Amino acid sequence: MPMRFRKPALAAVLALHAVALALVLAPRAAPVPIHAPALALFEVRAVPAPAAHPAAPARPVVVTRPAATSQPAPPVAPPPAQLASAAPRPDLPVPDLPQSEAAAAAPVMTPAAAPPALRDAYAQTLWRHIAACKPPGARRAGVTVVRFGVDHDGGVYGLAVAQSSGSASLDAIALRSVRRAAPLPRPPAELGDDLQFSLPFSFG
Amino acid sequence: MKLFKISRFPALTLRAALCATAAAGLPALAQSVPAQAVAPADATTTALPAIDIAPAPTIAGVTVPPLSPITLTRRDLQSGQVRSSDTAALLNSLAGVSSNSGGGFSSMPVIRGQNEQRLNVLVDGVNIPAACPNDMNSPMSYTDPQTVESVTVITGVAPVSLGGDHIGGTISVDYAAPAFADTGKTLVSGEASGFYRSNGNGFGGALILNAATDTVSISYKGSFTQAQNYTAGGNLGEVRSTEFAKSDHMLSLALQADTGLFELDAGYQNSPYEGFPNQYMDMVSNQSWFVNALYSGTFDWGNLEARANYRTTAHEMNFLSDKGGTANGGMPMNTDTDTAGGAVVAEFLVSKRDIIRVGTEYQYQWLNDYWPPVPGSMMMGPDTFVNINAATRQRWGSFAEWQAAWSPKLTTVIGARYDRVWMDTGSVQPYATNMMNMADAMAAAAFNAATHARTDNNWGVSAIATWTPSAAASFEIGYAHANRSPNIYERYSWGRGSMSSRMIGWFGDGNGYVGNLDLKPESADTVSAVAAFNGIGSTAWNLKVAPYYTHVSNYIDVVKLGDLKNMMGMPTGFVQLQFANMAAEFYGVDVTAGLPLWDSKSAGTGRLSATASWLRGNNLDDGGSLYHQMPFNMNVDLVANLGGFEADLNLNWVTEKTRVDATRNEPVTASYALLNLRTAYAWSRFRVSFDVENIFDKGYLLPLGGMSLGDYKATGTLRPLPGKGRSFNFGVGVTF
Repeated sequence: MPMRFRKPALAAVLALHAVALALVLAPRAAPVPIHAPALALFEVRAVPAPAAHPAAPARPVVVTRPAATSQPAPPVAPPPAQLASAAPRPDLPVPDLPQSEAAAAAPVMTPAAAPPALRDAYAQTLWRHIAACKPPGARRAGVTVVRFGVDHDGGVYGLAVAQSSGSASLDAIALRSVRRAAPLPRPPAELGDDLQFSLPFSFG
Repeated sequence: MKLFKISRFPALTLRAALCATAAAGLPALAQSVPAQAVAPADATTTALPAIDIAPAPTIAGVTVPPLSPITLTRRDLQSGQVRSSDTAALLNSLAGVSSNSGGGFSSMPVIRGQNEQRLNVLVDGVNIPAACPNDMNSPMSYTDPQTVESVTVITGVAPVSLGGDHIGGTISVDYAAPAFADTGKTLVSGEASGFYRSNGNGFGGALILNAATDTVSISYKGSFTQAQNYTAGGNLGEVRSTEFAKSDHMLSLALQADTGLFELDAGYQNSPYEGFPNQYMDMVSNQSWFVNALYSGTFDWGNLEARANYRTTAHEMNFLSDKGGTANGGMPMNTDTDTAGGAVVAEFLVSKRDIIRVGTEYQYQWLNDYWPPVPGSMMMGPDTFVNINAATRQRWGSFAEWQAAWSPKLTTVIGARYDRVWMDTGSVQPYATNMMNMADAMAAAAFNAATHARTDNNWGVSAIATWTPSAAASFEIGYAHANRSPNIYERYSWGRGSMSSRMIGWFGDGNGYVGNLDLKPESADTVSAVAAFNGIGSTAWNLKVAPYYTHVSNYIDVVKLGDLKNMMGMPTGFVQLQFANMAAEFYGVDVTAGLPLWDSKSAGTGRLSATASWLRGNNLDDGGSLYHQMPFNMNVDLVANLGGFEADLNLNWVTEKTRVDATRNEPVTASYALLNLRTAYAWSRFRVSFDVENIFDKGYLLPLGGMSLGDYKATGTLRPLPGKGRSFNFGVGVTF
């Protein structure tokens, strides 16, 4: 009696392992997986050629900035909940093509002086770059909003908590995630030197 | 889109290189980005969408991969606390989890056929070792569902970082993380609840209070519960020795600073009585104090967690009234134990892909078990029966583990650990050396002549791969080699008399158990897999299939020493057994499934969910079944939600248990199906619930209940332990 069931059970375990292993080893379509959902939010307009990305600027490389004495205007972060609901979960990859009209209509970007499409394209690259450094899981719930500036070399400056989650540990993890992502992708020169971002981390 | 791709790839190809250098550059980087630096006031800020970090349970300071753990949340427990004060019993609804019956709040969880110390049971992050010859104060008996925040269960292979000295699954019972107020504010919150159960007149209540500033948080959790004997279903009548009462209190202090989070928890349990229907003894007092301290720090290089724990327990057994009471002296049995230990786990974020964890842990247990003489008793006196004399069990364990996220879809965790266990104990003595105690006197002499110090060196490894090829499917496969050293009672129980050996054992079968100094650690190899599939969007069905196989060398089972006889020299049907190493195997499959049925504004939502478990546990030496292996069982739930109203119609079906351990005279139990209704209505901050458990008052025998010895002593009729009959349960709760 035991022997009769033992073999099928063992076979089932091995078969599952084999299937999973085969799938793992199978050639994959995309060499690098992309967190696509956020892209939908950014791909608002046709993206002009970033091929126009200039060579390294002539200005001296500034990685850090001295702390200014005046407080900046509070970042105009949209309600995180609204953003979260607008964006599919980044850990659920979806096909990145084609973009739906609904997604295209999502009002996410703050208008800026720089060419909006260029700015959006860069913001998209930036978001994906930082999201790749996010922690694997949240031990507790909370939303931390961080703000930071990006210089022309992709250096991060002025990284700070704009809105605390109430947990120092979650705030520290959010700051760490941005620091670990640095240096960030170098922004197109057309965007200037005053690139400021606010970024919510929604834990749990 | 072509342009888009061009812009995408440079960033991505850069990523690996950038991340690889991130770790090395961290200190410099941290300095170069002053946290207080501010942006120009005239800058226009671009708001990026939120980065979502999925919740993941944390066990022993380690955030575990999300696929294998099953978590009962506060909401699940809110519903469960009305029907049971036994946290372990609430896990029975999970696939692959069952429980061996004990007292009303002390059942012992079984995961995939493995029980007791074979499991890694963490309460507030700490293992609580066995401190009773009948395991009456099992780890989860120190918790009350009313105040617990979550229970996380890993039924399959778990990473070595979660703990050592076990070969089976992992259970982590956790309290709410400390809450802090926004800067400059104060936070006061809490929860109060109460319940009544008609069957056994059970009632209880609990209070959770939190007060916090932005840096200091204090919290109190207290609960009380009490019940009389329950009545079995059908015509099986009262089940004696099932009454209980206990209260638990816990104070927590937490401080958060730039240097990290500091927590200090202290608590006290007092149980004045708890009947054990399947033991010869009852618990007549259990008092336990504990202090746990925790530090967790978040740094640019990673995370650091350090904890220290201390617990002291005074446990007393004797007879409650169903077993004759103590008017004629009863039979006092006392256990005193102290445990202390500490652990440090460091998690290094080596690169975006790799996390390295290292940790070390030390645990110390001291235990005295003695049975004072009964005045006037020829048999139980004139000396104290020294069952365990100042035994010590020390364990030092260390591990290293590598977690790699090869892509967002594929994660591997590979680790190794080493645990060294030292045990020793002193000399023992019987009640007397007269004829009535001759078997014990000879056994004591033999035990005292032997050396008792034992050292085990246990190596373990684990390897787990989690693969999520799409949002609709995920897979996990794992292998582990794990060891468990014998506990104090398995190695050092020595009594060979009928009575003294029947006082030992946590199996509820009425048999006598004798320890074995020559026991070797159990050594298990497990392969387990999970395949999970789900629909997306409105058709959010889900299906999870989890097969497993475990082979155990030196499994601590028993050999028969002889039949236990009555005064007339006739066999009683009970046997005397001695712990012995055997070969064993477990295999089976757990299935969990869910199907949405309706979703509309007028009718709310409806969902059908089901769990099913099938397993076999075999003793490979004698070819028979292992003791207390749960027969095929399933739960089907029809859950409806409309506004604040929720209803769950639950069908629990358990098939006949025919595979039994012949060595222990394990009884066969019949199949049964129970229908349960659970309803609740929540509005504003209030919640009321009304349940009917076992609607048809079905009479049934618990497959893992053992023998109903409380009834046997009172009626002279021996039967397996019957389950609870119909009960109407009422609950109220308010959060503030």
